Amino acid sequence: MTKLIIKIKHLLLIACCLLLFPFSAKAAILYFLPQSQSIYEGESFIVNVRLDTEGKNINAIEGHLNFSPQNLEILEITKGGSVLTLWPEEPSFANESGKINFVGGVPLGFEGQGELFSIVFLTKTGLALPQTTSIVFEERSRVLLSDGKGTSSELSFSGGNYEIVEKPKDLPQISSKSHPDQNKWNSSKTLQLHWELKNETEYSYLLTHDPLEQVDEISDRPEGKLTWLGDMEYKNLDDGIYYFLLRQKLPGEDWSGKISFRAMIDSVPPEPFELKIGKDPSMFEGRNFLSFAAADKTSGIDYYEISETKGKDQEILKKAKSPYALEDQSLQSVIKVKAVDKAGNEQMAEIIPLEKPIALWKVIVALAGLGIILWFIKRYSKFRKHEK
Amino acid sequence: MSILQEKKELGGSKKSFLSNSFILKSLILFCVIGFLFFTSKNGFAAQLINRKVTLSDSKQSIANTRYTFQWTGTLGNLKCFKILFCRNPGGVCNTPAGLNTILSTKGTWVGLTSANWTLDNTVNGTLKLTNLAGENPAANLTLEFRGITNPANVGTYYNRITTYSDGNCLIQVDYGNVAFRITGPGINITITVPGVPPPPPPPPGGGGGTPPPTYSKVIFEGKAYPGALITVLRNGAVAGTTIGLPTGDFSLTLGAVQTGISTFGIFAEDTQGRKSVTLSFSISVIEGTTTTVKGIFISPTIELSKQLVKRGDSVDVLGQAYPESEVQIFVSSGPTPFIKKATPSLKGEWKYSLDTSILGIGDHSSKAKAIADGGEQSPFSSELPFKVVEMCKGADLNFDGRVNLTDFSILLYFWNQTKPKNICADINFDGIVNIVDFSITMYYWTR
Repeated sequence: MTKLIIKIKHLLLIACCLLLFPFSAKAAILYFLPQSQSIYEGESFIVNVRLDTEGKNINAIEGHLNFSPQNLEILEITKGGSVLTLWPEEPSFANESGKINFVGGVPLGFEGQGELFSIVFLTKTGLALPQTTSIVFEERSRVLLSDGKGTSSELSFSGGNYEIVEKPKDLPQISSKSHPDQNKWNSSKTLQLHWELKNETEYSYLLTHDPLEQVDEISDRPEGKLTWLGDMEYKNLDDGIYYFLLRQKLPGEDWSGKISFRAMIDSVPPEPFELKIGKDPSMFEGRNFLSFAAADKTSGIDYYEISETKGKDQEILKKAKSPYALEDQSLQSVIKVKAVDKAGNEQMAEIIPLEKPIALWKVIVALAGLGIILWFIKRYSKFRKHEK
Repeated sequence: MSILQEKKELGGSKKSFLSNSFILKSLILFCVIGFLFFTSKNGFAAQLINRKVTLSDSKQSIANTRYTFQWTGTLGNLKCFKILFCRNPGGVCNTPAGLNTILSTKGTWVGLTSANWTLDNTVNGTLKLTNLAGENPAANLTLEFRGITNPANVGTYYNRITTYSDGNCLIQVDYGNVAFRITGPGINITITVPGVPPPPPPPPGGGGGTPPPTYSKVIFEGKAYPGALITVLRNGAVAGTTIGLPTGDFSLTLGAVQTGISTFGIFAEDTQGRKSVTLSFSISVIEGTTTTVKGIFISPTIELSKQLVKRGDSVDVLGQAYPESEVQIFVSSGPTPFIKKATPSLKGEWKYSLDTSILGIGDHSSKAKAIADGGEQSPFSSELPFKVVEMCKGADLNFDGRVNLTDFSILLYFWNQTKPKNICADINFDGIVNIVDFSITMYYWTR
């Protein structure tokens, strides 16, 4: 009897668990990384927008996000490393209204967890601190299954909460001559950092990809490939976003809070891509157009340039977007497209026109002309013979 | 004979000639006066009053129409009366083009004994009735004539009615004109002239100023759809509205319409908010008359469920019409349209699912008309276009057998459009090029 009661209790417990979490196992999740962070007033930070498909195959996402324009400002959105490769609507933002919108997808879909894009936020100054600010997904955001029908998948959201705090005074100011702007991508793989050392002060630091990583309270000394304290150089870094995190311990004081310097490295050009010439009576008044879409694993494509060069004309590149209506509708020009990522790395693609076959009528005329000449020669020869 | 003598002789004959000439001129003058006197409608004959002519069908060129003449005449013995069909109320009577009265016969008569009167219809445009014995007509006469073919052209025409007391149709007793209107499809117009003739116009000159406008009544009756909102326009402005009866019939009276030529338009809005085409016609509203416009048959409303459809799918043609009618749906496909039929419900709703597999690729259109049980036809509805496209190949928007960047570019070109020129860009035909179409493209991407 006692065993039976225990079994029943177990079953009831399982049933309760199932009832408590009926839906969480199946819905895809849109979320942020980091989901929370403390940021100093007036400093920038990066938030990754990510998707966990929860076992489903998703091929298209439409997202609408809100943030507080009183507390935050967007500096940039980058798509490098995104699982999405095609964007009917590139991620766009409006700082005045605090909105972000995008529509993107990937051929044949993807399953698992992946980054969609990164947002570089700047915290505003003059706020009443500490200030908590949120980034949320709107309910009308949706993800579609890769089922050939565009079926919407169940979707849940996890917002981000960030705390803007006062920056402690007397923290070292970190600068970099190799990567001067924390908010810009740089193709150099060597990171040089500098801060003014103070007498009898200890420093603890680390270079990491995770801005939330904790810096310990053990003094560090430059080792291995590093140069010396106060002027650090990290050579041959892989592409990615790095955070140099630093704490100082002034004489007679405790270890300070953490200060960070971000360096974004992208040394690899965009991936090779192809150009496709298309024609559709309903587009560009039926003219030939060019389609192209490059991908960049790290910083993302910044812009494209295109040139159409005929013969020995000078090549002139100009900015362009896909689809692009070709100027030379005869398709006799060499078409070049340069994809430039946000670090300035370039990748070229080109189409070289085929030699046009000689028109048949030209061949016939040439043969006829040759025939006439031969006839004349023959006649002249006969005439000469006869004269003799 | 000398020259003088010749001259004298000539002068003498000349003198006699002149005398004869004077007599001749006098005689001619007398004849002219007499002719005018005896043949003028403004002679001593009196006016017929309460004149009215009703047509069984006032549509142009309709054959076997019945004309019913009514008037109140003076008492007296009649031996002849003539009814002329003219294009104009006065002057020389010009027979309307297309009119045929030669095959006319007498119909139902009231007030005169039909059997005693002989109809002479040998002259087209003239009905001549004679009774050598004579008959005193009743005060109110109704004379019906059948088998008349209406004039071919839309317009207002006039019957000149004259009664005679002699069998040779020379001595006029009474006369009167009555107008009738020939219309386009669907409308009969009856104009009733009441008993009291209008007052004579004021003498010209002196006093000055414009005479005040006068008004008359106009009644509209016809067929629409149950519960439809019927609107009558006069010269472009709304003159009146009414609601269609549950049977689909309607009647609307405009009590005070300014006399003169007015252009009327009439249309209906069905219970779903769809509007019919506007039926337009011009009427000369005569002072002191009641004009009844009957037989108005409002064309059906029409709507298409799709404006572009994949060949093989169906498109619904629907709307509202007069319940007691059959709706004929004309689908233009090539030089000759083909016709499908639908029966409206009691509420007037009709629908036909058109199978587009019988249509060619390209542009088509559809319109409808209603045919009532008695054979009366409405005008055509508005003509709605639709396009049949080849089977869109899903995400292969350029039909090259692959789904790739070019197709994505085409999709992008028409992004968020509700009526993309490349209608296949709306891959799922839900009316917009959006993320759903993008998702389908991603699914069928060709490596």
